[in-house]
Amino acid sequence: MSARRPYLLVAGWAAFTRLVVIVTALGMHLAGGPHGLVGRRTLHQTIGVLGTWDGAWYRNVAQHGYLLIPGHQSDPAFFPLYPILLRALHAVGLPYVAGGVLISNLVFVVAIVGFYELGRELLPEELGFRGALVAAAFPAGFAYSMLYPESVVLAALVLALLLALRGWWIASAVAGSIAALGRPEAALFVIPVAALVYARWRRLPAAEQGEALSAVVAPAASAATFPLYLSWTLHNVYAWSWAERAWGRSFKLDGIVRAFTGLPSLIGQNHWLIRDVVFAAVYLVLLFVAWRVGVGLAWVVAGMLVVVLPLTSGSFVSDARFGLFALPAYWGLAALTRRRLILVAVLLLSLALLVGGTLSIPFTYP
Amino acid sequence: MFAAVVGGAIATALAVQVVLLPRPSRSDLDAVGVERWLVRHHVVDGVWRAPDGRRLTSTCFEGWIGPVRLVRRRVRASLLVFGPPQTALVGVHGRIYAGHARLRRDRSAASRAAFERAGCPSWLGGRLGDVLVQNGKVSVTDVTLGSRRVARVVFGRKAARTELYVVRGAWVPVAIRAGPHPGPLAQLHPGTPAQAKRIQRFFAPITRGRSGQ
Repeated sequence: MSARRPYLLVAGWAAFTRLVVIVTALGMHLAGGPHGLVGRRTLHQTIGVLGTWDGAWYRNVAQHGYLLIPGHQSDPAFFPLYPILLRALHAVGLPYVAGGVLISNLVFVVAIVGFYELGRELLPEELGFRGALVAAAFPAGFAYSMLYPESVVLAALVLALLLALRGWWIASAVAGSIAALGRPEAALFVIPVAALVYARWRRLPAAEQGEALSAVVAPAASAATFPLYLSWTLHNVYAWSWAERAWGRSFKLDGIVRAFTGLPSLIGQNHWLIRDVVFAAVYLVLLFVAWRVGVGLAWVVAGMLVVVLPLTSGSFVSDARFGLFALPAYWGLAALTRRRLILVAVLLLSLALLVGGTLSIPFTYP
Repeated sequence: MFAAVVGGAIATALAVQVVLLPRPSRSDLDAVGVERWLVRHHVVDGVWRAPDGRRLTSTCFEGWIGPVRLVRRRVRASLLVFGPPQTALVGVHGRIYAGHARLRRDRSAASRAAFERAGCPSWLGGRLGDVLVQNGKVSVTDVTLGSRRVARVVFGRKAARTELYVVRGAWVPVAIRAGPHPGPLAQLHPGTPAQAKRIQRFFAPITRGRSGQ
């Protein structure tokens, strides 16, 4: 196999999985259904279904900026990287939804190739390769194709981690800062970067130690600028946390317990929550498998926090999507698919679930 | 190097947001101030003149009702008493019920207008908030009302246009002119805890959650 072939295979497979999601969305547009809760007007647009739910909020921020509306769900809960990108694309003539979906899907292919490279740095080549394949087709990954920042953040995150592994600390700090401006949980991956810096600390020249530390601190510092920006524009430094509260996300330590105790009544109100609970369990199991096959503890802990921290808000809502950033989980799944037959079965099942997930968009938010 | 990189990350991230994201208008920020007052306050008194010249008074209290007939769960509600003749209305998530003990559905435009004219905080806050969420037009201008300089907040489309007059900065409502046919200007002022208790007692059969009426 030539050196370039695995990259082309991974990129081609990632592009194919996105094609599956987009064709499903197109099919929904042509069939005019199911329209569920999003209404016929959304499906009337060619890929309108991919621009729904949070996508409408990101578009709103891109068009009008942030506004915290007391007593209502409002947009300061959404981090600024993606609206900035949407605005930039709109400035060059691309409509918000089309531009956003285009960039999300293109960047996703780059992110998966980067994830393959990251896997190669950390694990045996085969495991890294299979990890990239299962990550590209992961069933909850239809959100990567939506007007959501997930794929952009994944790309920046993977790049930050890869650069850190190669000792390009300042570039890693820049990429990590970009990722953290897209979604706050990206900042959790400073844990493996910190572990890496700690492991290499004595071997690093004095001049490089500061650079390495900056790769650990810069993402969190970048995420912290969002409340500062809101303080400047809305005169309210708490705008983000107040907006999160209006979305039912006030983070408390006993939230994890409440997430479980309140589960029966919440599932009674919203059956789709079962999906989030199942995915949360799958992520945690896969993270455990990843740890067993030799993925570093710091990586697994970061992945675990990505899955578990949202539960401190007292609910499993959207944990299937949040867990997409639990990167070692993909390596865990790759470890379970050593046999070619199992790998093919998992990929086919994933594709089917990816289609099912896309079809579910009108009924529930990812 | 550490300080330079982290400082650079902070400065660049902030600058990108400041330069590339649009800012809300002054009117929107003022309207948010009004909305905050409406969300945080629970009792408002009103006085207005009916077209026939009668002087009408109102007290609106935001409380909890249910579970009762027609409202099966315990929910937030606007409890409104106005008159004479004394009339009791209950507003729940945009639905209106008449009565203070045995509720019945009320779909009249006059009852709907009564909630606005009485300055019911959560009713008005819900409407203003919806307009802001949907990026609807809200204009806030300084005007003179009587001898007072106040801010006039205008929102809603023609038939449901609302003019709310508030003290700038404190955002306390002082008057309102509400649709569907903008009629008399109602004078508003924040109510007292004693009034809140009086209204709660009046609506006790539904605020205590008795069922089987």
